[in-house]
Amino acid sequence: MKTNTKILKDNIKFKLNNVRKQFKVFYRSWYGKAGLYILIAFIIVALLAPVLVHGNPFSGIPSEDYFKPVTMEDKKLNFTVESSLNKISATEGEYKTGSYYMFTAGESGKNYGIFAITANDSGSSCLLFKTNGTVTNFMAFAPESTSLQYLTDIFASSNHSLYVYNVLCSSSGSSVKALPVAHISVNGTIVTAMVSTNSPRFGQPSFVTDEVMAATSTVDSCPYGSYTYAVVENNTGMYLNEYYTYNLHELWSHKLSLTGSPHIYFIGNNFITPNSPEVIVTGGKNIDAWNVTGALLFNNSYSFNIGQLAIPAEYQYFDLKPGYQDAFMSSGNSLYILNLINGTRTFIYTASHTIAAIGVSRGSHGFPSDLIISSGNYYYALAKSKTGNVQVTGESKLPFGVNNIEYYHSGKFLLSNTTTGQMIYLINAFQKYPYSWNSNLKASVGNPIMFEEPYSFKIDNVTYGSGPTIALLSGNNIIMYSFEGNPVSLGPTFHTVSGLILPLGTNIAHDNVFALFIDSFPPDLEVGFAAGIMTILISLVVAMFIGYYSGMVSSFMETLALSIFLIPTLPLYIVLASVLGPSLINLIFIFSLLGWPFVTFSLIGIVRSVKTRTFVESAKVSNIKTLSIMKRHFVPNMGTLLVYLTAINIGGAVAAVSSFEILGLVSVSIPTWGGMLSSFLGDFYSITVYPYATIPPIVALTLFILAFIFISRGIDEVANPTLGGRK
Amino acid sequence: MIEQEENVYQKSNLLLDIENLSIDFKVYGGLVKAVRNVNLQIENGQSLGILGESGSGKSTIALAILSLLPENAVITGSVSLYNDKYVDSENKPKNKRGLKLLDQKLRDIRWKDISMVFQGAMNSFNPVYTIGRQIGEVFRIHTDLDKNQIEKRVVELLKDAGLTPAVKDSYPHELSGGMKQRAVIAMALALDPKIVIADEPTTGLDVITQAEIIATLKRLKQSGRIKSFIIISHDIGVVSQLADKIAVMYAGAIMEYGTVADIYKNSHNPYTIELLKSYPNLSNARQHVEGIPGRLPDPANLPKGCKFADRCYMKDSICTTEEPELQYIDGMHYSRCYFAKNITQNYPKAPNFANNYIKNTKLIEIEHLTKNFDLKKNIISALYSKDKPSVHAVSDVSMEIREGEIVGLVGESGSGKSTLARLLIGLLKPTSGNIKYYFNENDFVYVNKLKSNHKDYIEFRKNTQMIFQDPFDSLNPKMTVFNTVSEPMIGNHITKDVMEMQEAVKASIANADLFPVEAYMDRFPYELSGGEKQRVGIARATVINSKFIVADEPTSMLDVSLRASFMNRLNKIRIERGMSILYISHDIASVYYLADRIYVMYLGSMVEGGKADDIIKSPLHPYTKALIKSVPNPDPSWNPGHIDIIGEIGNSIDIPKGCRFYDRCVYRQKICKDTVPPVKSNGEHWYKCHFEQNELEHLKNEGYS
Repeated sequence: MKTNTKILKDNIKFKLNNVRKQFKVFYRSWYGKAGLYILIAFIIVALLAPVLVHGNPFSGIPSEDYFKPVTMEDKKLNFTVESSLNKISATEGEYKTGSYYMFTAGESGKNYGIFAITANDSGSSCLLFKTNGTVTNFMAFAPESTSLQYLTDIFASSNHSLYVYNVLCSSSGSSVKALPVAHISVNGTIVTAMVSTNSPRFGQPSFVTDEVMAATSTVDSCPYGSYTYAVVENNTGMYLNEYYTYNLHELWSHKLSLTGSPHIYFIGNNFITPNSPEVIVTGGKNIDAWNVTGALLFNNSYSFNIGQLAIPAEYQYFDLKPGYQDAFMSSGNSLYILNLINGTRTFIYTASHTIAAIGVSRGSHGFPSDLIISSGNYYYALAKSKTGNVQVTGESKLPFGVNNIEYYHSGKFLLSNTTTGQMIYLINAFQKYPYSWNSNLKASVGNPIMFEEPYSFKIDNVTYGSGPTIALLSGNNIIMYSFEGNPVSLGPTFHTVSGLILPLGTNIAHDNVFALFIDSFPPDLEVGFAAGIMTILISLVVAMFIGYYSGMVSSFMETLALSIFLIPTLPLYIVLASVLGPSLINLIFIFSLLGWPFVTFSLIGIVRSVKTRTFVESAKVSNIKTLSIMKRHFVPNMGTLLVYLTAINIGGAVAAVSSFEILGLVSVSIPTWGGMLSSFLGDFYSITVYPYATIPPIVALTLFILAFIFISRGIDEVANPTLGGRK
Repeated sequence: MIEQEENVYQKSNLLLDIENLSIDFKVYGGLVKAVRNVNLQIENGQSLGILGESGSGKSTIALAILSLLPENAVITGSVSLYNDKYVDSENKPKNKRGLKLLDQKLRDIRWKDISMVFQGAMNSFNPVYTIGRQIGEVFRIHTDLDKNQIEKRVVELLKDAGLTPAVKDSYPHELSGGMKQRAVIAMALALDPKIVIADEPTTGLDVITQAEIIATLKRLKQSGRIKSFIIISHDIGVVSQLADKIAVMYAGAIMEYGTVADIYKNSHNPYTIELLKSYPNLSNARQHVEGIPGRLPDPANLPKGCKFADRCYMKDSICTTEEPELQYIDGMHYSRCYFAKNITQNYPKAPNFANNYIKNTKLIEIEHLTKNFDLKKNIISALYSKDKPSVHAVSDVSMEIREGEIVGLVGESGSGKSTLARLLIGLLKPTSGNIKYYFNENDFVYVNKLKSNHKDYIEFRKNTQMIFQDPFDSLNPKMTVFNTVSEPMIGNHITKDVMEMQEAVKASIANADLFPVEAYMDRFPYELSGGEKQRVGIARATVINSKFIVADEPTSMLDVSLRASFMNRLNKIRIERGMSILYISHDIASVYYLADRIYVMYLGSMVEGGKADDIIKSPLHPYTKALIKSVPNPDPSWNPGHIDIIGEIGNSIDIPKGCRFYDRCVYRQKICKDTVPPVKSNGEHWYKCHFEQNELEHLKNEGYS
């Protein structure tokens, strides 16, 4: 005695057994196997898509990955650069000729000295003047003078000597030479030296002869002069000496008590009052500040080693007024404010690693608007809140450790690692992708300098004008970058600057092609399956109706089916998309509602032939209702054909939907295979430029549709068995 | 053959020699042994008959003779024509040249030396070419005669086969079944072959046409147009008329071999004895026949020993261990049985039935029932023509069926029997006339006037069921036996309880003699044999104890040995439950075996009716007379003589105004053309004709003088 559930279970067991036998026949065919495996692979990828890629593929990739600097020049110099200095100094040359010079220290055939490099296409370099011994420090500067404007002076120091030269360039700008101005030897080793460019004069020193004055400035009332400072070490200790730049007469010398290697900072270029300029020397835990006249302003000793001192550039104009008195000092992990008048320090912030570099903006309105410190692999942007505290307002990961930050203008910094040669251009410290371009020279570079006066140049017949340029030394090459980077498309790469893995590179719109590709699997599969199955369901119902009943109603339905069959899908969808909005659901509906007649026509034949079979008559004799007859007798006998038609239909649905997507009729916020190809519709040449963005969707589409065709071929073996297999 | 019995003289006259032929088919499930170790010989001018059921390997031998077997056939042994072995498993051609030579040889043999009339050949004409062109194709391919000569030969052939030369310009769909069969015979004779093989030449034809084809073949044989002849059939009557020697085959081997008289009168093999007795024929009247129990062995898994052992009444232990050899009896008579020399006849005991199962109360009565199907030639004629052409399938039929009786309905195909059956069941609606259904003796309803959801109509539906002709088609291949048999219960809302349904279905299946019942409940139709499928049909028809069953040619698709058991089962159920059965068939012998009363239909109208004995022993209507006369009798001394009927059954669209039988009646007179003949009756036995019996005798003598 079987119970209801046992009968049900037995029923299901027998149906499953039948299905298993049919599956064996299906599995025998090579096509069926191949199609089934491909389909399973697609479904697995679609299910794993959220795991494989994270986030919205349209959200873009970090800009530093695909922006590259425009290299304007990359020239090998014909002398050996003094690598311990690795520094360029630049300033305007003869304005009339419009040529610019860069100066660097080097050696050529046992001659040490300062070389001048012309910074244009025909750039050449020449030795300006020799020093005895390697150059340990140099600066190029242009003192303010009215009639001798834009003339450049160069100061250089070697181990024991100081030099000052005057640079002259020819009127055509094709040659440059230097005229000696002053030269002294010092007893002791010059550790470091610098020059102040426009310090206010405090009267004509007594040792300055009238000739010298005349040689240096033709205007007696010019209030500015230039002083040279040098830290000299001899067996009695370290001394700070001040010299008058144009005859290098020593004005004063003070003993320093430093506990580390010295750095000189000067604040006072362009001050008006002569008592305000300061020269500050830091070394180890000590910091000393003297006035230009030689008076000691403050002398502090901290409990920590002083790292860097960063003074906003515009403070050089404001005479240390209130609000323009604070410099930033880093020490170890901490950042402090140093009051330049009395030398007091105030703690601001502690970072997690040593502060490697500080970058400040010009500070023309007091507290600088942009303040960046780099620590470890992060940068932190600091700002003054309304309450007066300085706190971190933005931070981001750095792709490499930065030890040099240069400020350019409006919040843009150039962050570089001078040892490894990596550079990255930060354009806005507070946005999600803060960087613009990055460059990796893979060799130590000198600190980059900015050309403030633009000149235009051509690369590949494209004229780049009016943008400032960055120049730096790398090895024995001089490299000049334009500030504005160029977006490029990336090929498949596993090492990007931001650490992203791009197995398929980027496309025209700079999206991660791999993320786009994998994220297209679920929508396309969903649309295909949904449209295919809906079509089959509608067709099944209509076909049973048309096939079973004969007469006017069924003829009418058949004519209706034929007329729907003839409606062109594409224009209808375009109209609907413009009225209802382009969405994937609309597409599924349109395809199902217009695609069912085709399947219906195939099924009507089957229904009509089953209708003539005797067991249907027998069911009628047994008084079974029409609906039950359809369910019990028609549907099981159409089973295999239904599966076959479903398989073909799903393939067709995906093909049709993809063609709509390629034409761009579907909303662009959903990643689809067709959408990936839609950008190439008007621009076929790009297919050759971005092969890795076109080939994956094409392959995926083809394989998907082929999988269903193979499956239907396998099902055909089950539905139409032939003796000895299909030939 | 046992070789020592042949002498040299016979050997030189040997036309076809089949030696140790075994044919196996490689199928996905294994190896099917279709033919096992067959030895046959045909001499010049002789004809051989191969008798056997379906599945015994007869057609396979025929195909092997013509070397037309499919690729997965494995042949061992040889076939030779005039000592030239052309099918030989030992000398298979090894290279391309050998294959080409063999191909050439076969092409010479096929149709020129040996030709074949295939089974169901009338369906193998190309519908878009005329008959003349298709027969002419034979000449075009094998000879190089020109067009006029070909035409002349075609006309000659058609005349030989008994057709008018006008047939050569008609298309296959314009000819009847019998004419198509004659055309196929003409095609087979085209190149004067030495051997003609005819594979079931008369299946699908009705009795009269069958008799005519047999007469034609006999005539051709006697006139020498057919030199040697192999006739393959399951009908002993057909084979015994046309063959000199008969080989009886079972499960791929020859069971008995001998002359026609040997086989028919003096059989020494239990299978032959059973086969000859296994279906009714007119001469045995209503003697109880019992078919052969059991079923044919599965050719992929043949049992050890004698293949007939599990169905044999002479079975002994030796029969299941080793297969017997052909034993020599006498003359040319051989038999494959251990007990061949001392065979006994098997007389089954007739079961005792009570004979009060026929009541006199009417169950269904039909009055002047007519059914016309409209033909729409084109829309103009459909809308506007006054006299629309229609198929007059059933015209003015009246009959009655009493409770508990079996009424037989006899007629050719095209006479409207199936349409009448569907009208009775309710699948078709009559154009005019009444169907009365009697609930009890005095209470009846007009079924054709009821709406389909009227409760009386539902009652009527509950009490009528049908057994269909085609067992393969009447079961849904995706439904188990349980689902199929329970369908009437579901449709008529007998019960909702699954247990009850199960019990009822089990009882019904047991009643239909399918054991073990549990195993059959869950089988699918493809796991059942033909006989079992038809028994499932009985189970389905009897599961809700209907009072009336229409059986529409239920045995025509079954093997001969299964027909008798089917009919016995039907009879038993009728006796046990008191149901009425309308048994429709074109096989008069089986109708006579089962029916109490018989009606005869021709072209839509009932021409004669009465008690079964009366109709068969003393037919009154000319058509019935011709029908009875044309049933072939397996007794070799039987000669039908001339059958008194002209032509073929007409179509029911252009019916003659008067008597329907006018075109074919040999006694026709002018009055028959215009007036509808009246009913002449003496008691129960009535017929429709203008003339009395003595008048017919008179006309007949006149006609033939």
